[in-house]
Amino acid sequence: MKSTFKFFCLAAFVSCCLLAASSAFAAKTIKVGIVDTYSGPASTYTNDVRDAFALAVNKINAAGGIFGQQVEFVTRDSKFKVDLGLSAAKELVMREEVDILMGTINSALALALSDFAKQEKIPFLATFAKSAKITGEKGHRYVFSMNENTAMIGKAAAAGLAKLPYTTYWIAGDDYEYGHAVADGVWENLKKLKPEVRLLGQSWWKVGEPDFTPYITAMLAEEPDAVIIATGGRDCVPFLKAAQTTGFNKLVPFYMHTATEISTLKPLGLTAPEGVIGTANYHSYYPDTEENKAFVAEFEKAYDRTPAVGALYGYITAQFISKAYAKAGEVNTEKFIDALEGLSVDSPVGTVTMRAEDHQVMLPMFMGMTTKVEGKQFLVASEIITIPAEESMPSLDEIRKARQL
Amino acid sequence: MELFTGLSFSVLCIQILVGLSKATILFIVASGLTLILGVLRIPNLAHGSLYMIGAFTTYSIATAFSQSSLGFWIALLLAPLIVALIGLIMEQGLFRFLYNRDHLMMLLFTFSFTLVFGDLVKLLWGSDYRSLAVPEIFQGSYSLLGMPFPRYNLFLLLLGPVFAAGLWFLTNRTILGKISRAAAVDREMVGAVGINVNRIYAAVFVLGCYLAGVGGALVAPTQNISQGMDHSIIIEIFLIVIIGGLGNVWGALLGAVIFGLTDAIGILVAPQFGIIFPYLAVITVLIFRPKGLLKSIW
Amino acid sequence: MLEVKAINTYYGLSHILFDVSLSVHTGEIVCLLGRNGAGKSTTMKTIMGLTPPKQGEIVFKGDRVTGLPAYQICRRGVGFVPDDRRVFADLTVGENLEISARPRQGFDGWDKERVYNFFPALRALEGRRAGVLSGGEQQMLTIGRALITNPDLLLLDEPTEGLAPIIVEMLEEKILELKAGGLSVLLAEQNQNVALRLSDRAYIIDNGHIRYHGSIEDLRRDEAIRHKYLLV
Repeated sequence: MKSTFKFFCLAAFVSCCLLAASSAFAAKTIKVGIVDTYSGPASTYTNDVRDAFALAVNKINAAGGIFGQQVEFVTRDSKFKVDLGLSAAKELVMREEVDILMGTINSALALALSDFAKQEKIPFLATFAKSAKITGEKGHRYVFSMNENTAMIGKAAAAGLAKLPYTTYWIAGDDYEYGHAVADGVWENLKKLKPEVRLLGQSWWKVGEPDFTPYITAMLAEEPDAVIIATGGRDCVPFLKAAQTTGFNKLVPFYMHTATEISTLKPLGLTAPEGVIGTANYHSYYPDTEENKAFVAEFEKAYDRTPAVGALYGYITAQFISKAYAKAGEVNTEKFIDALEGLSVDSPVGTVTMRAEDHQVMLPMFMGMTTKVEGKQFLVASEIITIPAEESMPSLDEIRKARQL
Repeated sequence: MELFTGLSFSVLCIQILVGLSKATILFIVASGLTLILGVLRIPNLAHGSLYMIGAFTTYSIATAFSQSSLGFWIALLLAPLIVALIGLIMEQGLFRFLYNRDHLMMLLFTFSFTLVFGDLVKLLWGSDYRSLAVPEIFQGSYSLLGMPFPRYNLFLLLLGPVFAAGLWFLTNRTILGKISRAAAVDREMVGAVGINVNRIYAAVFVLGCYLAGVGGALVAPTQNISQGMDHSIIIEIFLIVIIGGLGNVWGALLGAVIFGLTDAIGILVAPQFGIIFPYLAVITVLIFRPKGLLKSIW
Repeated sequence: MLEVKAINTYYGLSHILFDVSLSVHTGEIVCLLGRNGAGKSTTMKTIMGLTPPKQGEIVFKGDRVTGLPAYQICRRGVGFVPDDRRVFADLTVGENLEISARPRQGFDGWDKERVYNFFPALRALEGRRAGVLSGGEQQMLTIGRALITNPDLLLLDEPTEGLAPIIVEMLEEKILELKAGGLSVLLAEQNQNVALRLSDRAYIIDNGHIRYHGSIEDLRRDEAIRHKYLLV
C-alpha cells in the first residue's frame, strides 16, 4: 500500500515536472505581431506582405526554426485607422507578448507604432508605409523600414529622369502629404542632377478626384516636355484610365511611381496606356534570376496569384528577422537590433542590406516603360534600367540633419 | 488666337465643353434631389448613396456581360430601375408615414439610410474599389480644335440637354408633373380635389431615385467606383440645389453648369487651387442671392 | 345627403367645435351663419376630411365617412371651395381644371367646356397663371375647380368675401343655377343678406356651438337672434 502510494506521488511529481518543462519549452517561440489594414482596397497590397511573410516563415520553421525555436505570427486589422492600430499593437505587446511588431501600409499609423515601439523598447519593422519620416526625422533605434520611402522614390526617379532628354516639366498629383512628398522628392533631386530643368507649373486635385479630363486638357495646353504625376494608391488606376481615354500618354511623356507595377496594370488589362514611365521596387519577371523565378513559382503555387511588391517586403522582413536573431544567438531585443544593423540578406532582387545608421533597407529601383506584350492580358515594364540602392538613399548628412530637428 | 495669360481660345473651348459634360451628371443627380426636396420637402441625404448603388450595380451588370458595350447599355437600362425600386421600398416602408414630421427629422431619417446603404454596399461588393471600362464605342477621343475630347464626354454632353428637355416635359406637360407642382405648394388642396397625394409622392420619390441611379450608371466608366463616392457627390449636389433654388429643376441645371464650368476653368487658370473654384462660386452666389438664383418652388 | 352628428374638432389641444350637428338634404342650399372665428371654416374642413373630428360622425349619401382622407371624400361627391380660395398658383387656369377633373361616367357631367360655359370669363384666361388672377377670377376658378370634380354636394366657404358687389351678384345667380341643376350646397357666410337671399334653411354657429336652426323665413323674421349672433 505504502509503496504504491509512494509510486503514485513520484509519478505525479515527475509528470508535473515534465509538463512544466514541456510548456516552458512550447512557450519558446519567436512571436511577431503584425498590425495592418486587411479590409478595404489597401488589402490588395497588404495581403501580399502577410502571405509572403507566412511562406518564408514556414520555410524557416520547416528547416528547424531559429536556433530551434519556431517563428509564429499573429495579425490584427487596423482598418486604416490609427487608434484601432495603436490599441491592437498595445494588446499584441501586453497580452500576446510579441517579440517584434510589424506593419503597416498607413504611414500615420506606422509613425504612431514607431513611437510606441520606442517607448516599449520593442523592435518595429515598418512594411509598405512610405513616409520618409519613419527612418528620417522620426527615426530611432527601435524602428526599421523594410521598403522604399518618398525620399528614395524621389531620388531614384530623378536619377532615371535626368538621363532622359526632357527639360520643361509639369507636376500634378493628389493634394495630400504623400503626393506632395513624392513630387518634391523627385523635383528637388532632378534639379540637383540636371540644373537646366524648368518647372512650368503645378496642378493638384483632391484625392479620389473623379474626373481628370479637365486637368489633362489644362496640362496639354501648357505643352511641357514631360509631366510628373504624383498620385497615391487610389488614383493611379483612374488617372491611367483617363490618360488612355484622352490619349494623354501619346501626346506627352509622363512619369508615375508604380505605373509599371502589376497591382496598377492588372486591373486595367489591355486598356492600360502604353509608354508611361514608371518606377517599381519589384517585378515578378525582372531581374530574370533563378532566385526571382523560384520565389515567384513558390508564391504562385501557394496562393494562386502572381506576387507584387508587397511580397518582396514580406519576404525580406522574414529573412532579416531570421538572420538577425540567428546572429544575435538569443531572443534579446538589443542584441537583435545590433545584429540587424548592417545585415544583408538574399532576396529575389539580389542582396539587400539594412543600412546601420538609419535602419533603412537599401532596395534597388527599377524604372521602365509600360508596354504591350504578346500573350499577356496586361501590360508590363520594358526597357528597364536599374537604379542601385546607393543612388537613391538619402545621404547620412540629410538623415542627421532631419533627426536633429 | 491667344487670350490672356497665354491661354489659347481652343483650349478654353475644350475646357468649357469638358466642364459642361461633367455638369450633365451633376445635373441629373441634382434634379432628382431637387424634385424630392421640392415636392415631398424631404432633404434626401441618401441621394448620394443611391447614386453610389447605381454605379456599383452598373459595374456588376456590365461585368456580367464582360464589360462589353452591350453590357453597358443593359446596365444603363437596369441599374436605375433597381435604384428606383429601392427608392420605392424606402418610401413605402418608411417615409410614407413621416410626411408630417418636420425637416430635421426627415434629415435624420435619410441620414440613417446613408449609413445603412453604405454598409449594404460594403456587404454586397466588399470595400475594394471597382473599375469599369469605358464601353468600346466610346473609347478614345475626338480631336476638337486640336485638343483631345474624349468620346464619352461628348456622349455626356449630348445627354445633358436630352435629360433637361425630358424633365421639362415631365414637369410641365404631363399630368403627374402638374399635380406635383401643385402638391409641392398646397398638398391639402390637391387632396381636396380628389387626388391621392401619397401616390403622387411615391411617384416623385421613385423618379428622383431613378435619376440618382442614372447618374451613378453614367459616372461608372469614368472613375473609381468606391465607397466614399456617396459622400463626395451629396455635398456637391446639395450645394447645386441650394444655389439653383430649392425644388427648381432649371435651377439644378444652372447650378450644375456653374459648378462644372467653374471647376473646369479653375483648373485651367489656377491649377494649384483648382479644387476650390466651384465652392468660391457657391459662396459668391449665396452672398448675392441667398435664396438661390432661380425661384424656389415653395 | 349630408348628416353631421355631434362632431367635436380640435386644433391640437384647442377644442374648436362642440357637438356640432347639421344636415343638408338633396337639392337644398343650407347656410351656416356666424361671425369671424365662429367655427364655420373648421366645420367645412371637418366635413371635407381635412381636420377629422375627435368625436362625432359624418354621414354622406348614407355612408359613414368620418375619418376618411379628403381625396376619398371628394371622390364620393363632395366639392370644396375654401374661404382663402387656394388656387394652384403656379399652374394655369386650364391646368388647375385639368388636374382636378373627375369625369363622371355616362351622362353629361362637368368638364372644362361646361365650366367655361358656366363662367365664360374663365375661357379667356385659360393660359394665364392662376396666381395673377383677380379676386373674382380666382373665386370663379375655385368654384369651377370644385365643380369639375363632379360633386353632389358643394361646400362653399364665404365665396363672396372681399369681392365687388357686381361680382357677388353674378356669383349668387350662379349658385342658384347650380341648385336648379340639382346640386346640394352648404354655404358658410358672414354676410347674412347673401345667406337670406340664397338659402332654404339656416344654422347659426357661435364659438363652436350651433345656436339656431330653422327655415330661412323663420330666420328672416327673428331679428333678435340675428342681432345676437351676427353683425347687423
